[in-house]
Amino acid sequence: MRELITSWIAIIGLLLTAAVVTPAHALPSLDLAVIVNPNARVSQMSAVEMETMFTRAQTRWSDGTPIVPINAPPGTESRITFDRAVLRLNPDDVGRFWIDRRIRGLGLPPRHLGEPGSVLRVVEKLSGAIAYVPEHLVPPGGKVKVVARIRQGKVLPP
Amino acid sequence: MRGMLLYRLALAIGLACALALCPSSSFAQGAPAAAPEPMTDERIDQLERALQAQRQEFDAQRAELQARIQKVEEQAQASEARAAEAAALTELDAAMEGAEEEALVDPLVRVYGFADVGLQRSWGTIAQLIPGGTTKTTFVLGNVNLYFDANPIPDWRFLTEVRFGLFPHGASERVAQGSSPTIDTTVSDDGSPNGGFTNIQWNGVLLERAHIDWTPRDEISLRAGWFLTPYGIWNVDHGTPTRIMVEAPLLITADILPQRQLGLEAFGRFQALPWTVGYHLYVSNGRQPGQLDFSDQKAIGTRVWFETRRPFPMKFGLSGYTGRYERVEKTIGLRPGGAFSVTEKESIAFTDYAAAVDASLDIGELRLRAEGVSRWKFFEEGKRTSYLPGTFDADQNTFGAYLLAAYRLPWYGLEPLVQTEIFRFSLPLGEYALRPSAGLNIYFDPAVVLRFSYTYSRLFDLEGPERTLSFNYLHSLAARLSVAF
Repeated sequence: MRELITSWIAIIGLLLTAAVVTPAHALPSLDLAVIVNPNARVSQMSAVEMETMFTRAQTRWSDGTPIVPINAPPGTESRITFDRAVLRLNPDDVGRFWIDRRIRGLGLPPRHLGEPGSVLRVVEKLSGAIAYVPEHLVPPGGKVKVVARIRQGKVLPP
Repeated sequence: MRGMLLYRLALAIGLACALALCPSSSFAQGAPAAAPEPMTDERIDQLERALQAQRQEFDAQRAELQARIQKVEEQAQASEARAAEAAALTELDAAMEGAEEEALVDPLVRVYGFADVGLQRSWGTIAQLIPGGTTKTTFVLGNVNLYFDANPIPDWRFLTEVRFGLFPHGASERVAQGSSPTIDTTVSDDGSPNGGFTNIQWNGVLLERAHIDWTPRDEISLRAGWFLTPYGIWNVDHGTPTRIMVEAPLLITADILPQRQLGLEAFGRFQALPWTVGYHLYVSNGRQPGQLDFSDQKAIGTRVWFETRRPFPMKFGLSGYTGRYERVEKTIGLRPGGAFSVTEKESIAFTDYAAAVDASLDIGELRLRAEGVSRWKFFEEGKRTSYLPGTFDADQNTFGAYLLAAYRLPWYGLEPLVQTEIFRFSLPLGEYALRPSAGLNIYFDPAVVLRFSYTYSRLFDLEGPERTLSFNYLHSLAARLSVAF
């Protein structure tokens, strides 16, 4: 029994040591604009509506058009800010959330695009797209429609 | 471009030379054919000065011409550079648009999965009874599960999950009563270079699920194939990276509801924000000894669930199932006269009724899970199972329930947990089992987690004749390192 206890304590000790050196994440906050295609039949969205779309609980707009949520890449300031404000999840929690969904067979997370310019172009062209970009990068002229803003980590109307 | 420059330069020099020669020629032609004037030194100096002036003028013209040529060339080069830049930008733009589209379009097949390996030890009187089991500390390979997720066309999906394992080599058969022979899959490796002297043990593949989904809308989807029975938490969570506790509760181990079924399922969800309401309705072969159903009485089941993430994530579910199990023995004989005779006899037949409830709550860092399943099993007369020779099983009610609480500490990804399960079944070892557990999860990363658990199982009777339960307790210690990918 003593050998059993010793071996298990040794294994647990080694693994705890490994856990201690795991780095922590920073806490960024960026002002974001949530954008949709200009032809979308929506002018304003709440946090819970965006949450259902970005968690894939809802996959179609009211007119049946497939929703194409576009995330910022994991670990970016935009992504962390959005996930905290809308999904109310930290980066690790987001990771666990999608691993759980995947293992349950419920599908994969939304795709992500790195460049805000690319995001704007896709949202402009794709009727079902919804995405978010830094607020100051939203171009004037109505090429995309802003349906919500995220400032200081809070979801606000456009 | 360089050749044209040289050509133009040579042309200009030739023109300049012609200009240089022209004045003396015209001068000679313009002069009357009179008697030549005497060439004085003054006259020679005058001619030299005129020639010098003409040369200077020519040099100036040549310089101006070269400047113009250079300017034209620079303009041409700039124009070409602008054209090339525009072409490159167009190409880049096209490439970027392609990348965007590619980034958003689902690939035909995606492969992902999880794996876990571990260490475990079971001891106690019950451990001695487990056929093929050990009471010593042993390393184990748990799961190597691969998902193949295909979307051939919009709204259609094929998902299969395959588990690879070291089974069945060394495992025990569970069909024979009173004895459980160990399976040996050792064969010669005929493809080995030594001509087959090498021995190998072939291993198994378990099809966890394989189904085709059609999802025209969120509210209605159809699924056909081999699917996980939609009930409770554990069976839906399904994989080691997702489950909070390492060791499966007895209600799962005992198959109170079949874990998987072959049939047709309709499912969907409705938004009643902030709630999402979902349903499952299926018809299947139900619980059967194999893939085939030997009766037309199909199993049916349902599940309704309610989920929200506000004010905190929570989910509640109700499930039901009913189905008939039958084991058919077919005998084919030969009658006198040459005709075949076929006799089909149901040796075992019973009908199941089962209901399940579940609740999940994530309140801050506290995770609570509760699940209960109850099953009523009614045999048809003359078609009862027999656990011990000379006896027949009675109609049974089996139920199990557990409550789990886990708390994520703010340090180092640690998550201690406790769980208690009570289980009622029908075994000679005892009628009830109480199973308190404690565990610790360590999240190195969302995809990598190490789980420990200790469970003490105790069997006891609450009713019926008093009996001495000599094989009535079990300690089990388990650890699993899992990775999802």
